[in-house]
Amino acid sequence: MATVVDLSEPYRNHLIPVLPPGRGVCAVCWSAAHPDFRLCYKCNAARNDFRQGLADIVVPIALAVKREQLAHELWHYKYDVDPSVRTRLGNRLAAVLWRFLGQHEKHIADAIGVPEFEIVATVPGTREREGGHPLERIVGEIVGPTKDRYEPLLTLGQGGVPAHTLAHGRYRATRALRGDPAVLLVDDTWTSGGNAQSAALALRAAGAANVAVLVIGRHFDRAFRDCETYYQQAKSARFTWDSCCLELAARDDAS
Amino acid sequence: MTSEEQAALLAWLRRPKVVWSTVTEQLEQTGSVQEAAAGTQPAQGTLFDTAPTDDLDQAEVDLERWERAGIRMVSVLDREYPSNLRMIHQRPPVLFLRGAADEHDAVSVAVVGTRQATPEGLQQAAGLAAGLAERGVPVISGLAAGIDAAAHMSALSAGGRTVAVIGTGIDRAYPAQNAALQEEIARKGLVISQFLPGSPPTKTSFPMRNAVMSGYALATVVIEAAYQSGARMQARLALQHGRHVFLMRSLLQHDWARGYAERPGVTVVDNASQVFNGLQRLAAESAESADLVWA
Repeated sequence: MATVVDLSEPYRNHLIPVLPPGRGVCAVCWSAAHPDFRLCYKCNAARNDFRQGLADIVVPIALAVKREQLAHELWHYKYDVDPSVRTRLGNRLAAVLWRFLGQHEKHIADAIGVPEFEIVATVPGTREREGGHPLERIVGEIVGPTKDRYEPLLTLGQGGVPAHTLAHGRYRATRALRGDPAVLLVDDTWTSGGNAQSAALALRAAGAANVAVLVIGRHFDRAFRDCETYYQQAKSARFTWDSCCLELAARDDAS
Repeated sequence: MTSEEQAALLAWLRRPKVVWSTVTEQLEQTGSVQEAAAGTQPAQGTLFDTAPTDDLDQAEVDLERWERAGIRMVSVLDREYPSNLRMIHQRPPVLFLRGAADEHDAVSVAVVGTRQATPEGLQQAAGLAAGLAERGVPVISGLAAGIDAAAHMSALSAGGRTVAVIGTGIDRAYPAQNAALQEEIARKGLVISQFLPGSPPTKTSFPMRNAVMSGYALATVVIEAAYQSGARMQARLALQHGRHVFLMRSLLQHDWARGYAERPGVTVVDNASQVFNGLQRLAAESAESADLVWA
């Protein structure tokens, strides 16, 4: 037996929160942006290419800094050669997701003006694997707030669109979504947004009225341009389970 | 991993300017030494040329020589690489081992503390290590003078298992007076080094060793440590790895320890029994089969 609180609590020691929106922070993915622009390069390109159909909101739980612990876990829970490591890390990440949703799912729904998310889906993996993607196990079988609403709604499209490319047809929905549902789309890592935003396009095409993307880690490379200043600021802000980036953003707006 | 792959990996690691953390990543991402080396400067191409290069020959000779001395090299691609260590971001690409692996090490405790130990500190270390050993918990430490040596010796005296994670090459002893203890641990337990055999102690090797010790054990207990101590650093590293830290109550005389005691994943303890109970809970929640409930 393990509790969400016990497993997630130690993450406070090493998780780094994303910075609240503002100068130098992308208004979509919360990562570092050039101080003169509202969006980072990738999110700006996505906005230019796809005026409609992208996610209504993107919410990262924390930064997944390259070569640090969270980024390590987000890769190894899928790909470690040792199955027990994959399972144990998967259980811990399930606790992280559960803890965050237990305390903050309402804030995501509020931010896009929906009463709740009727459906929870995951972004399909980029590699074929036996027994399904471990994120499906986490969201569909372990995490209390999602498992009853989870549906394996998306599959890879037929078009052979390369991984991480933002495109219509990269994924397709397995059924039409009737009644304009709001979908909570979960992924482990947001790197360029190509996968999650392509999944959002597919969900919209299938009939989703709203799509909110929740990612455990926003991939972050300190060596990349504009990133070190952001990193230092983010690192000095203590991570807490008690407030999410949306609450901090709302607080900043009010003040 | 075949002996040819081992030699190629060793030759790769020995090349100048090779960043070991990159080697780890390349190995994990490709799943083979050959592919990993092929895609990386400056190893590109040469490791698997048909005509063996001098460094490959030397690597083969050295691996055979080490094997005769009871030293084996395991990489992140090998099953024998410890699972606990795989879970942390500071896992080294290879470990050099002397002694026997044991699955019980998965639920072990690193007992660490200062080299300049007080008599009370040494007594606490010995008492704690014995108490853990008697309860079947392997005692992991760093084979340094002071607290480390006391923990190893006490675990051995109690008939328990002990593992030394050392800050030099595995064929060296530092400090020299612990050479006999290192031999005994290799015979009865396990000695681990993440450094190439022959490597001397350096300023950076001990903090790197602390990271591996934290990763190898399920939790760390700090016995006696001033602010600048490597043991305090291990507590910090353990928390960054998401691992639990136990602090002996007597540490609360230090500002740093009072600060740490407030953090999640830290428990202040008085004795081995409390560490053991805490460890049982940690083992249960980190088990593969653990059912997750909210609270």
